[in-house]
Amino acid sequence: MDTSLLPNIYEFISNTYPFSQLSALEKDATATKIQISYHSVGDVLEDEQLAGAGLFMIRTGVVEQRNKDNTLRARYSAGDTFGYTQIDKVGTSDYKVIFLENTLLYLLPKNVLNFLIEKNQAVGQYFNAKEWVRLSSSHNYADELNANEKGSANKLIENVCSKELAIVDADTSICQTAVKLGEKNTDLAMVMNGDTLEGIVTKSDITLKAVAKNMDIHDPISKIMTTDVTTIDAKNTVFDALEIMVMYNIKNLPVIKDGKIYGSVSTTSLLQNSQLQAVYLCQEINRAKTVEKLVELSHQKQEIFKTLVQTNVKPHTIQKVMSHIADSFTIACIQLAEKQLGMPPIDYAFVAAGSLARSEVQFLSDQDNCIITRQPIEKPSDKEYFEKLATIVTQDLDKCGYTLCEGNFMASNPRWCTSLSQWKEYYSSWIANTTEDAILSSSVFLDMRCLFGDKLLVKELREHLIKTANENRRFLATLVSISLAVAPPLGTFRQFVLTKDGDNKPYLNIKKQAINLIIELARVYGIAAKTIATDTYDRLTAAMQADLIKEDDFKELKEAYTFLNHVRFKHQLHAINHNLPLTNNLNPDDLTQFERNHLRDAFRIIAKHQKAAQFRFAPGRGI
Amino acid sequence: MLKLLDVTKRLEHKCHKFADSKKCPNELKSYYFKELPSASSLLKDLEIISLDFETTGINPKEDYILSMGGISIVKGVIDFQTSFHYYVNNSKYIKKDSAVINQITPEQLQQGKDPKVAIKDLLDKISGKVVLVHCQFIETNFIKQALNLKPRAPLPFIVLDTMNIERKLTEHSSGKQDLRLSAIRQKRGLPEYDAHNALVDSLATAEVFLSQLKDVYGNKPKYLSQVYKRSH
Repeated sequence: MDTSLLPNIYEFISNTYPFSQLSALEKDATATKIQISYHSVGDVLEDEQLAGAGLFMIRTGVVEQRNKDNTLRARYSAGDTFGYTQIDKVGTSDYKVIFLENTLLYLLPKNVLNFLIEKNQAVGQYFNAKEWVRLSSSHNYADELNANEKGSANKLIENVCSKELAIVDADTSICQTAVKLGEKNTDLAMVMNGDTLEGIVTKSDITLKAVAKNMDIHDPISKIMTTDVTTIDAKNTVFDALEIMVMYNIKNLPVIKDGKIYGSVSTTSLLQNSQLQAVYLCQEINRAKTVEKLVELSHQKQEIFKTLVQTNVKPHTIQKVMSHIADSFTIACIQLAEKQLGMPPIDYAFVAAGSLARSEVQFLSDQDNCIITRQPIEKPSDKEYFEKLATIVTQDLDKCGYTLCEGNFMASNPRWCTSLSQWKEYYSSWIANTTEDAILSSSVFLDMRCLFGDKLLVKELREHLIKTANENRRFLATLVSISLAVAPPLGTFRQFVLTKDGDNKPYLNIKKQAINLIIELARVYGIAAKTIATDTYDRLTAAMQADLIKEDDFKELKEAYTFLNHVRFKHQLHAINHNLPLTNNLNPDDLTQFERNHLRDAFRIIAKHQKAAQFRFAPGRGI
Repeated sequence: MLKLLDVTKRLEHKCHKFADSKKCPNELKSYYFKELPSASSLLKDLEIISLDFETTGINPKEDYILSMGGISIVKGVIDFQTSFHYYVNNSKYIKKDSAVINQITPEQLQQGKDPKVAIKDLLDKISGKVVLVHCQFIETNFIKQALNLKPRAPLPFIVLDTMNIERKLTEHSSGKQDLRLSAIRQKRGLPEYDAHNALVDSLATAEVFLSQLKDVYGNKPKYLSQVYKRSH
């Protein structure tokens, strides 16, 4: 049949993921197999109406799914699909479907769906019954795509350099050299004497040394060339090239291979790679001599974040890179402060807490930090030293865009600038006298990572925490119950939402309502698995290795976490590009059908693991 | 009530009588001898064929059928596999202005079925069945005209009409009733189908019908006799 006769149905299917991935022919075949039914408010589908039926698509209306125990499973509205997980069931279904509005429902029968799954890879992947497989197939991250792309800083120069050579000799005129540069479309001319490199001339040399000084453009190029040329061997890495460029402040390097001129590299070409851009920034941070310089450099953070998201780098890598940059700023600020105040009177560690401790910094993160000293700070002069140090560092970080922590969880707060023994006491008291308030007011310090100074201090404190926590099971139970106070927004349709912003517009807070919940679960599992790691992925890995969670659980949580961060970063990128305020609040209207479907999967995973954790860590139960 | 239950029997009787008379052309007799579903049948046990014509106008004596489209409701579900659509080769009669409305070109019509074949094919499909239309006079009168039958001649199928059902549902409400298909769909929250062709309109009619049934009967069993009464 001519599908142009069914433009509405055809268009609807074409816009419903994953059928949007079908070929025109497959779409035709699909459109002509649809069965349409109509349901009014309060109607119910269950058991044989669902089991083995096929895939349901909501054309108009709203439905909800309820589990057998009558808890909410999900809500769906126009454009959503459901029923796939019941396709191989017979007689009884896992859930029932209740119609909340009058609903026009399309059914793609089981046999047609199975045919499409077999024929079309995108559809096949999408309809894998496991949520995490669906989530993991939802994106191909740039840094996973191609093993060769990994660690681009370690790529060899010969693979990235330009092989266009503008070769002149010492007698070539300035004018002819300029022409040659234009012809070869390169920035660097090599002045050769046979096989020997006598000197180099860059485009800016011609501008600044010749034109700006009113030289005769027919003078020989040797007059303005740079002798004593720094070169790099083609077998060196991109990172080596950057080192040299940064160290000697040069923008173009001739590349030598087997003793002969081979090509050239420039900073601009190397820095088009987002991760190198970050490496380069960190080096500049390390070399900065003043806070003003640091502040100036801090503006690059946003560009790097943008490039990372745009080039589709894995969310985990983005967080690591952004954390590495934050680390560099913090260390630079501390070093500048020490230079100003003199050497510290006691051994200490400057410690990151919160998201930076987990290496999960993102664009909105404020600063959370503390100081641990080896001995108690007793002398007034010592006290003064650390107070000053902490104040300078936290203020400078604020200037660099890491805003002061509203809860004052910072080293500049005397309470959080104290000795190892005092810190141990803090932990012991939080853990022993567990109350939700005590934990809420200190949970940011449950994650710690040493940024500067004596790493052993932090390690010792982490081990103390792990040990004490595992001796007091009630502590973990309390952590779980605090986390469970927030549930992922399963009941989402149209407005995703449970919260309203200042303008009374509904939104989804992807951090509070989803991402944090996984972080918190991972923290509890990490502590129970006795790992001092703080990274969410590392904690989950440790929990799997300690047999606290199964491999499938690990994959579920990992993929959900990755996907949630992906969505968050993508929306933040959008905000940056449109000059909107950066938030963790997503407007449901901005979400694609694709994102909504996958978010629902992620929420279901979280809800499931919240339940599992509640059971496992229930007071009175052994781990 | 007994009379109502017999509504299809009466039609069947009329059909047989008509088939035995001289008024009935020989080639149509077999259609008229087909058995009709009993008035006490449950709707879910019947195939209901939603039908729509695109025509050059509303007067069967002056106007012509351009295309026919239809889709069946089986076990309460609209099944796309039953859908059909074809153009009718009345190209020599097509009027310029209706071509614009219907988006049908003379070329499409020329490739369509011969009018005589088209109407016979249609009768093959719908005779002895339940046919659903929105505003029955258009379709039934055009069918009679195409078969060269008198206006009062019976047709060998049972007709249900979403327009009449809607009228009876709303006749006690105040304000002017808008009984156009698109207005009813909008009122019932059904998606807007901006395209116009016989198949889309037959689908639109079928969806309205399912919605009306839910309105009137909820999930109770629905008998043909009751729905027939609301259609006439």
